[in-house]
Amino acid sequence: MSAEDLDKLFRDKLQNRPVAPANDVWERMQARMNPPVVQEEKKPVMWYWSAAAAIVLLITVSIWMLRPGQQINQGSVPMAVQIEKAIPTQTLPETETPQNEVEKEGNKIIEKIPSTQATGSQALASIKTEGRTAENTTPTGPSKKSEVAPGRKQVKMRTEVAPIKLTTPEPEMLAQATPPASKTVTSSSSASLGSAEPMEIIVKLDNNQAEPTKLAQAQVEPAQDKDYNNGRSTGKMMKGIFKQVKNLSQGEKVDLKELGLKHSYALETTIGNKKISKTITL
Amino acid sequence: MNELDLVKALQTGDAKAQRFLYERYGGPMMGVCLRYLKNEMDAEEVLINGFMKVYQHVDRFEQKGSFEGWVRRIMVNEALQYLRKKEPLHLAIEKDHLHLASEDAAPDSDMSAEELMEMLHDLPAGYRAVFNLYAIEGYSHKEIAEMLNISEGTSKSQLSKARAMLQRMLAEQGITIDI
Repeated sequence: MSAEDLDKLFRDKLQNRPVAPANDVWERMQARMNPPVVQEEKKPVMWYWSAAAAIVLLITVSIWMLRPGQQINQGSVPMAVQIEKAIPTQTLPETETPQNEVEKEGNKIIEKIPSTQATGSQALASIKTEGRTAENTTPTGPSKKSEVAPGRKQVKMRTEVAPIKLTTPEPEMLAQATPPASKTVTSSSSASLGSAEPMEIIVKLDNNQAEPTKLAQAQVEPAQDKDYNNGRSTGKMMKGIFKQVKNLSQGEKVDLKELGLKHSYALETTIGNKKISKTITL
Repeated sequence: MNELDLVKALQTGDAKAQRFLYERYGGPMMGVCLRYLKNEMDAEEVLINGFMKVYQHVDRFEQKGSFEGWVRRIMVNEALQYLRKKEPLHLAIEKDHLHLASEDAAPDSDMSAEELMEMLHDLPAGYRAVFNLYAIEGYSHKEIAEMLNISEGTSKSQLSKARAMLQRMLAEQGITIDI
């Protein structure tokens, strides 16, 4: 077989012999011809979503934090008043009126903590006049509250005497007298401080809707209002949050005011001749 | 669509024309690539690179020869470049693991293209390249020497060694058939 024959054999058979390429070859080629566009688009989207997710997480956590916080806040409102009441002589007439309100509405609306505190504060006030004698007459008062409940009007002075024991020197009684909420502990301690030196702290809550209420005088009613507001506003707040999250995901402006999260507290106090005021915005 | 229209459409970057070109020449060009590279994946790689080059440089096509010839040349060059990168051509270093072909091997017209392709693939890459270029593609030794960056003498000796190997393979094939 000559070289030419050999060449011809291969040339004839192989020169124009098509072999179908694999099906995915065209797709692979397409992918290689324009790959970068797809990748560049993906990146900012991913960044966007992670940012949105982070903020949603932040908001949910903050809601969760606020919920138990609401009770505490309510507790703190009368607490401040309580301190005021610790001032012995003058406050007594004032406290008489809210006391009545407590009797009327207290059981229905007001949560336990503020109510006990309110009564406690009154009791504190009332100590000054009748307390010490009452204390002696009712030794069982503090320990058994269940007995107290039915005959409230009569026993009231005595039951409320329970916190009166704050004034008594015994430390154990102090511990018992303070209700379970942790905030009240501080209040009682500050109350004792207050008894040593007259000190007044006024807390004002500025809500968007509600007028700045003077908590110092009307203890119960603002708390009551707050209750209602909170009940309504949680629904509103959830709506607002979803709206803001939506805004966020669409790249619009986020307004925290709409969430109703903005509260500002104004604190005022006088020490000696100096008057100190502080505004806290949440 | 005739060749001229196809080229014009390709020169505007028309995606349909690109697809059409692939449909028409994908098979034949894959056949070309497979003559140089026995690994199918390598051949596909060369095919893809070759078509991308055709799309990119279709402006440079002058209407002298046939468009298919131009495309084929690009594929061959891609294949050689790939060979050079992937497996050094061993153009000069081939050991003498070949004996002279037995002269009595008769041309067998019944040989299938697949069998011939297998034989081609059994050649060392350098021999295969030179044989492909000279015997099948029809390049001269001078052209081959330039394309592979070797001397003309080396091209000639590579070709004769490749032929000898193929003749031996054909003879063995004939023997096995005879038995």
